[in-house]
Amino acid sequence: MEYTGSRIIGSCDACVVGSGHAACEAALALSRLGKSVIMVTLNANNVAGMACNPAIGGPGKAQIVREIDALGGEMALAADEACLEIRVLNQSKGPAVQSLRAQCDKRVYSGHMKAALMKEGRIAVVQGMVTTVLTGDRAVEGVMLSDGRRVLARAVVLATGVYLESRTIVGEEVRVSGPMGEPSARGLSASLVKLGLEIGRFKTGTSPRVRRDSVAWNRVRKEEGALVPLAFSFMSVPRLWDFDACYSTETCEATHEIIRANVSRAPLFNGTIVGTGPRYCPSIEDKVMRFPERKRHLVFLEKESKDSDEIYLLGLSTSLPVDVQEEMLRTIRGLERAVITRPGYAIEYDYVLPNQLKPSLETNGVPGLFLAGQICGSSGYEEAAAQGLIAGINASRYLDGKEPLILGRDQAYIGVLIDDLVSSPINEPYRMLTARAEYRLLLRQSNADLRLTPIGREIGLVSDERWAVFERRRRQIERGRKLLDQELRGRRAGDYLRRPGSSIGELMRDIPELHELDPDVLEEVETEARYAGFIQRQESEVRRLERWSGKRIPPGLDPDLVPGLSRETKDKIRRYRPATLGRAADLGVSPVDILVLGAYLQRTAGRA
Amino acid sequence: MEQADWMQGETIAAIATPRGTGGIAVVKISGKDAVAVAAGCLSARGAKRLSRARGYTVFFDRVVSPESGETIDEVIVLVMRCPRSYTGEDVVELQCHGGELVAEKVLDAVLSRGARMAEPGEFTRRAFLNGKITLDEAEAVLDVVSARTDRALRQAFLRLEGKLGKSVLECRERIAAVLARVQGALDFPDDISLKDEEVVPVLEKVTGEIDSMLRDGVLGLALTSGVELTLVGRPNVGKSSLFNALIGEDRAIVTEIPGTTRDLLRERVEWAGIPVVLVDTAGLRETREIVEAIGVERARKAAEESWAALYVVDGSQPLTGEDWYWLERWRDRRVVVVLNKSDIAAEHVKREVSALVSAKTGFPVVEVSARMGWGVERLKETVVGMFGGAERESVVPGSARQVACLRRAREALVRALQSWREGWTWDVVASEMEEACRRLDELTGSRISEDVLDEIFSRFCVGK
Ligand SMILES: Cc1cc2nc3c(=O)[nH]c(=O)nc-3n(C[C@H](O)[C@H](O)[C@H](O)COP(=O)(O)OP(=O)(O)OC[C@H]3O[C@@H](n4cnc5c(N)ncnc54)[C@H](O)[C@@H]3O)c2cc1C
Ligand SMILES: Nc1nc2c(ncn2[C@@H]2O[C@H](COP(=O)(O)OP(=O)(O)O)[C@@H](O)[C@H]2O)c(=O)[nH]1
Ligand SMILES: [Mg+2]
Repeated sequence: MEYTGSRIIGSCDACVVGSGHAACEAALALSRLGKSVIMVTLNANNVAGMACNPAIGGPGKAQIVREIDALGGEMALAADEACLEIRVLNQSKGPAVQSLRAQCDKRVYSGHMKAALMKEGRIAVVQGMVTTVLTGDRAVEGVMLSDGRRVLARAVVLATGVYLESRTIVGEEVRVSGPMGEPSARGLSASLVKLGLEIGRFKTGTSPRVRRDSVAWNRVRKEEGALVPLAFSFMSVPRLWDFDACYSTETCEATHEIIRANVSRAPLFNGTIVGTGPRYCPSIEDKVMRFPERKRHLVFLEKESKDSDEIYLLGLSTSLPVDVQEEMLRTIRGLERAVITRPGYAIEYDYVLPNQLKPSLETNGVPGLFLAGQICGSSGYEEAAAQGLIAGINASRYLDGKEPLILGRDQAYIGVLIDDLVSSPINEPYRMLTARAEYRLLLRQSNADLRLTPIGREIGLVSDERWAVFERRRRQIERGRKLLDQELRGRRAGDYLRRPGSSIGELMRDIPELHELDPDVLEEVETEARYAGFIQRQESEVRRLERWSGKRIPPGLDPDLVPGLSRETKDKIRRYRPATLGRAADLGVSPVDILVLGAYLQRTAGRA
Repeated sequence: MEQADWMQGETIAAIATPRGTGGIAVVKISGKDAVAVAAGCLSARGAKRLSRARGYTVFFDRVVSPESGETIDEVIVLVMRCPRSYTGEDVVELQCHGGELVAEKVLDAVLSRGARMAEPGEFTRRAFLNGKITLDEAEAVLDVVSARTDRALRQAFLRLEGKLGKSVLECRERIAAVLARVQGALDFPDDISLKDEEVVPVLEKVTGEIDSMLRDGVLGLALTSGVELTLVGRPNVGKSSLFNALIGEDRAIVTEIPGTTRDLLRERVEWAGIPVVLVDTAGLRETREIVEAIGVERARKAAEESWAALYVVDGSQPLTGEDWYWLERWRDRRVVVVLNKSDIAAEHVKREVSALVSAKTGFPVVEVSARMGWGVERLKETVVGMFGGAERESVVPGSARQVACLRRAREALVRALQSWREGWTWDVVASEMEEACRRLDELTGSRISEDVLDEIFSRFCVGK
């Protein structure tokens, strides 16, 4: 009612707020599923920007990128096009943790996403600041911008990243601002609070950038890329990348002295910053103060773009004053004369406590309102993109009146990510780690397509072209499995691979047909055969634990209906909505209450 | 489907009245085919009546043998319909008049009609799962039926309290700490490098500690299920007299005629708070008489299946070849040699026999007189000492489930070490370490699994 004076600038199926990694995947998924989309962003030129280091992948994250690709998302394709250099981390530590990481050209990456959005033809982009989520009696109805313009939509995906009520901090200098001089998004947090959502505050930080020609390149080490062709997407042709994109150097005692001497000026330590930062991506002042015994810390020099003049200093994330940052660089080999183009800074922002979301990423209270990305308390491009994809898919399914897509913890890292976010307390920005996935032997980056492409196809995101590529690979893998299943000198051929250090190459002479298989297929069937014993045990462990721990707690369960539960347990169920009994136990619900709950679920199972 | 086995409503049956009480015995049947199963055991008229009966109907009929068609017993039939019954399922109770033996036959008939023997506590478990009783009520039932001693009950629920909880938690924390190192190296390969020396010695050490907890585990088992001690020896050495002396009343018949005790006699006692089941047996000797031969065979089996044997000899005489045969045969078992009749044995004979047995077998030797009651306390102490000592109560895992969890945790650690030695990759080693942590969490109850449920209900008696 009160909005009648304002101007309606568009009406669509779904409005996506933001143009970051989460927003792009959400908009693309919605559009590809046939929905009309209006994308509202603070800066239409900043699409899928990399505010932090220009790299995609790494342990836990590479698996997510592959999963996004397998489901029909865009991230892997963008990373492949923008790739400057790519390699496999943890090569020697096993297939479960082997992880691609690519250093990317920021501009090319952003350009790829822009083109992908354009190509859809169904995504309109509007520049402006969303301040209010509009709701009707039952569900979301659209958004209103700071200038009073309105977008009407039957579903809304908020992917506003680090911008909500954000402040940037460099030493004593605190500004109300978004990253890289962009505006802070004001007002939207208040609108969400009005809708009954609880807001928290996190912080993160980034490193200084220095001028390319001010680095003494002969005094830093070159980091070698991989010597084999690699790619993220199952659709891309693996390539060798020889661009010298990454160099390394390290801090020394003198650097640490400077930091210690100035720590009282660090906002992190003097109380200026109140938000909680990620333990896993600490600032240099954090590292120096927490690990006084370490004599040096690695610093990577990463080119942000082929034609960019700026170098990103990975490992030097800091919010110390600019003069201290300059002084620090003086002590680092190769950076003695480096000129800072943009100082490192910390950013503090509002996020929505994700326990208020369903596993579909829809908010509990407002039908049709979905959240994705850093606004949900996560950190990282890959984590954001994954949520964007799922929120996009589920917003579309919501519009179609279909059941949401919810991936299990034993199905995908994306399942682990969302389950952790919505059903456990998040105390710091959530970053994916392989350690978070209890079934990581099953969740390899190499088998993401086998796990998820059939699901993506059913949902409607996997194109005929992708499906054909997948079917070919699946056929080959099945053929490879059969070949390894035959008898060879009195044993199953595949059993020859059941020892570390064995290679499928040794079987090629006896089974020449193996030559017909693609290298990635050979690698996959080799891994399957070598780790068969471990994989089988992990699978049976999943089943064993699933019988009780996997028992689903209906999202709408009213704990008051369960006789005999303690008050504490009822509160926990209301607050975190654990999806399963196992998750409830992880929240510290007592064994007795778990039994009571389990018995209740058991006897109501038939009725639901 | 999603439903676990225990909720399928498979039909189960058991004798619900305590053994050996005489009088009326009740065979209880519960599950989705309870009515059909019971009907199959009744007369044709009874069967018809039963299938039409509504809840809480009682009538009189007879149970007939499925093979011969003969009447086994006259019974009172009580029907309760789902969900208004103790378990929440269809329940039929058959009250028999003919005592225990007849009740066994009735149960056999019921089982041959497709019911399955109920597991301990299964009726109560179903009642709980079907919301008929709360866990507190279930536990109250438990208190009545199987809390053999206070101590056993405390031990059964021992989790994070006591020394066991602490040592398990310590092991878990130490595995978790090195696991964090390994995972750190896997997730932050640029920042953290991993040295074998940081991981392997810790895993080896924790494995050793779990080993020693497992070695002590027998006491824990003893606390929940009771240890069996079997009295064996040649006829007439005074086994039955000793049995009576140990339980403090005259249950076994004592005679001078060898071979009097032909069947096994069991009695439950409690030593140092530990439930002990004493078993008296027939004498061990070659015999022509068929009934006695069966008795001898039973004695041998009982001795070999029980936790320990008390090998009784007549201390006033030298040991016979038969004695040496059995002691040699049971060389690797737990045996206490009891020199009985020390009231009539000459000092020098006692000394010689005792020294010889010690030297040849290494078994502990205790002199007693069953008749005078001498040495009986020392004998008890010797046995309790074999449990691991009464004061070590809380260092050891409490129940079969806890021992199993501990064993699984150990297996996972051994696999972790083995795969590391064989040169497998760290992702695999880390997974094994995670499993070890998970198993210890299940032990302490901080992680729930079906085994926990099984444990709680397995402490109920069959038929409850
Ligand atoms: C300084 C800094 C340091 C970082 N450091 C790390 C790190 O160390 N490790 C790590 O893993 N990740 C780091 N990141 C995080 C990473 O950049 C993000 O996790 C990721 O980009 C989040 O993606 P997103 O799609 O959720 O949001 P963003 O990429 O932040 O995009 C948000 C989008 O929403 C738009 N928007 C916001 N509010 C409104 C509004 N009200 N109306 C209209 N549009 C709006 C913005 O214009 C933007 O397009 C850092 C980010 C920053 C800024
Ligand atoms: N003097 C003496 N006689 C005993 C003792 N124990 C048993 N007897 C006698 O030995 C005989 C056999 O006893 P019994 O207990 O039936 O022996 P079993 O056949 O081994 O069970 C009986 O006459 C007992 O009274 C004892 O400690 N001292
Ligand atoms: Mg006797």
